[in-house]
Amino acid sequence: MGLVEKAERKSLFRAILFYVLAVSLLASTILSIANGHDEPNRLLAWFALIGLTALNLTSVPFLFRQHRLSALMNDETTRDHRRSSLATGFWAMILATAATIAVSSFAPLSAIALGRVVVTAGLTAALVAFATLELRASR
Amino acid sequence: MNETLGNDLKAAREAAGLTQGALAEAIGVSRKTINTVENGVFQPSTLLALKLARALGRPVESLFWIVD
Amino acid sequence: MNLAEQAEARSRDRAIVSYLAALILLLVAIAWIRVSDGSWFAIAGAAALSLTSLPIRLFEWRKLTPLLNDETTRDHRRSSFAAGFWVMLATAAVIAGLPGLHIFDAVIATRVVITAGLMAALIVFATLELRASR
Repeated sequence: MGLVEKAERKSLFRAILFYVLAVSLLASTILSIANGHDEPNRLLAWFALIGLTALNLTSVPFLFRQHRLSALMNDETTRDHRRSSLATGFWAMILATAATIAVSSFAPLSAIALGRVVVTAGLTAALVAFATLELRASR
Repeated sequence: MNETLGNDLKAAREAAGLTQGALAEAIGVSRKTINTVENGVFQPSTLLALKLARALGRPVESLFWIVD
Repeated sequence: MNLAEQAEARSRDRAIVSYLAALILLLVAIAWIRVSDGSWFAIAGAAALSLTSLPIRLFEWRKLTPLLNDETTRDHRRSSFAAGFWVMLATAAVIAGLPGLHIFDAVIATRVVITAGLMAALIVFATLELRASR
């Protein structure tokens, strides 16, 4: 398998992984808010999850892998898709934050819940946007 | 000023007997970059446009042009 | 003054307004300027809107619009959204994670998050635009 085909396979895998991460993050946040799980030890796991997710939205992982395959997985189109996805995430967070103000008048939310909602909205939107752009480009 | 970028990349690539993958490998980008440039979805940087022109042995102006 | 010079002057004005908007958001957030909830929404909404190309398309003279929303500006805008994204993410994560901040109710926390994100985006946008004009 040539380098380009390998890179394409890995990119495809990355896109699917991002969809899975988005769903996991969303599910974890919904469950934790619904069950009122705000204990520090549970938050730690959540922080680890969002930290890794956020890291995958950067090109930092590619800084430590200086070979041609990494360059193909982080080329011009991918960098463009990444920027687009961050813009999507930004607006998703603005909307989510504004929406919680409206929701708070009916069902008061804690600051922890708000933080989780906003982070989840931003990361989920960014992950889904990135994965969708990558898959669409590969068609 | 609603110009867009037109391109003849697909025809030039096929005339050179190259697949998208082969052209991508030649200039060090992913196949999806070639695909999105050909479809007009992605506007290549100047550097990428010049690399494509060099790889296909064509002047860059014959590969890319302004569509008014 | 020709069209390019007009656009440059407008662009500089826009950058200064962006800095001012960021400052106003901060002053409102730390309650130096007291506003009602509705007013806060309007201020934040206007700041968010100013980060898009909509105001230019709607209110600027048609010949000036493409110059005020050209490739460089669009690129700067995307960079500013990226900055806003990371700042909002970090702010929301800190609010969710630091026990000392849990005394804030969600409404105050939302203001903090939006203020941080919009400020970051506005400042980055304005700085990039001014730097490009030098």
